[in-house]
Amino acid sequence: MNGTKRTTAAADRDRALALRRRLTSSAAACGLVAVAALGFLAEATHAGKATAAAATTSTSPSTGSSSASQSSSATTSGSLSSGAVSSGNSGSATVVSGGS
Amino acid sequence: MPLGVSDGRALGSVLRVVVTDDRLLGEARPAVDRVVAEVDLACSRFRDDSELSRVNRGAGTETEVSALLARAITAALRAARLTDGLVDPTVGSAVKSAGYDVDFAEVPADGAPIALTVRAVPGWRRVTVLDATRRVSLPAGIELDLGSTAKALASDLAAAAALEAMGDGGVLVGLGGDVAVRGAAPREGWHVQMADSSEAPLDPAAETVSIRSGGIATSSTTVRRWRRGGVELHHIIDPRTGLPATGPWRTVSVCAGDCLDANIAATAAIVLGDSAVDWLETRRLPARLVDRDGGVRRIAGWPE
Repeated sequence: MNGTKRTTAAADRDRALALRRRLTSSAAACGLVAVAALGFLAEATHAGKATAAAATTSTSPSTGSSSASQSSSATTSGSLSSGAVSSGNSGSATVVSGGS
Repeated sequence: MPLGVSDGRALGSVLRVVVTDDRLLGEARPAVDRVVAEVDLACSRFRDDSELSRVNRGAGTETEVSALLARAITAALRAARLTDGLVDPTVGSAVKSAGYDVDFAEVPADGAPIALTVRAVPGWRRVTVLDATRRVSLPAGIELDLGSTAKALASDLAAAAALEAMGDGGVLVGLGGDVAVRGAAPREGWHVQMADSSEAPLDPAAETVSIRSGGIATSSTTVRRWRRGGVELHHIIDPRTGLPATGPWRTVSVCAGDCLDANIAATAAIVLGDSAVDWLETRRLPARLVDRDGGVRRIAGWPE
């Protein structure tokens, strides 16, 4: 009698442990899928933008004085800005651009 | 509406302010003068009382600076980054070693031989500006020279300040050949005469171009020259050698989205030499390059 009860209890324990392993594995798999899905969703909807570090060669302008706050867009740009130039009328120049 | 024109001198160079409505000159000129004076006090390496001189004297430590100087140094470091170090603010000691150690008006035109050493400048990567605290860290032995970029930045800032003061119309600021325009341009644009020197008089026969926005800057080895031991020297230092640049171009003019970028590109082209044409075309920067013999090459949309 006692031997049969012990056998039954052991079998129940093994089934319970197997069930717990299946539940644990399933939960882990579901968790991974959920994290991946949320990550994908977040990237798609809130991609954000890279910013430079605050220190060293930061490209952000400081502000404070009246003249410094007059921003020049190229001061912060990551590349040299191009311009457009066309032929002028000789004799109508108002200023000279030369070395100094 | 007649243009309003006002002339003067600033930062050791000619200054010209032009506005589209001469009635607004009274608002524009004081704004320009204020900005230029602020830049001079912040960025001059020839004034003992300038902030830059204080930073250079404090090399080896961190120095807190004004927003304007922080911005000027940041602009200079950006210039170095975008040109792979061809325009580098750490040329200060090299410029001095070459003989340009006081205001140029006081530099003797001729003199005895001096010893020049081929040695790369310390390098812009060793300079840091902490935006949050406006503290500049300059290692010992490094001296900053913002001359290449500060004047162009002053033109941009002055033009913007003038336009704000005017409230309407358009303005051109020409400071030693660095030309910045803001606001509404005249109907046919702003006409700019090209020359080796910004001190050249207006000449009806000279090449003239037109811009409606942004800026034009010119760098040239034909100005700020001196002689030591019979050798001609000039003020544009090649950071790779620490000596005056020796490339084939004597004068380069560039049109860009603002005067600062035009100045950066023009100076880089002088230093870069033979490769400058490809470098400018790759960046789609309209440019006019004059070689040592006076031959002119126009590229990337610069009008023929």
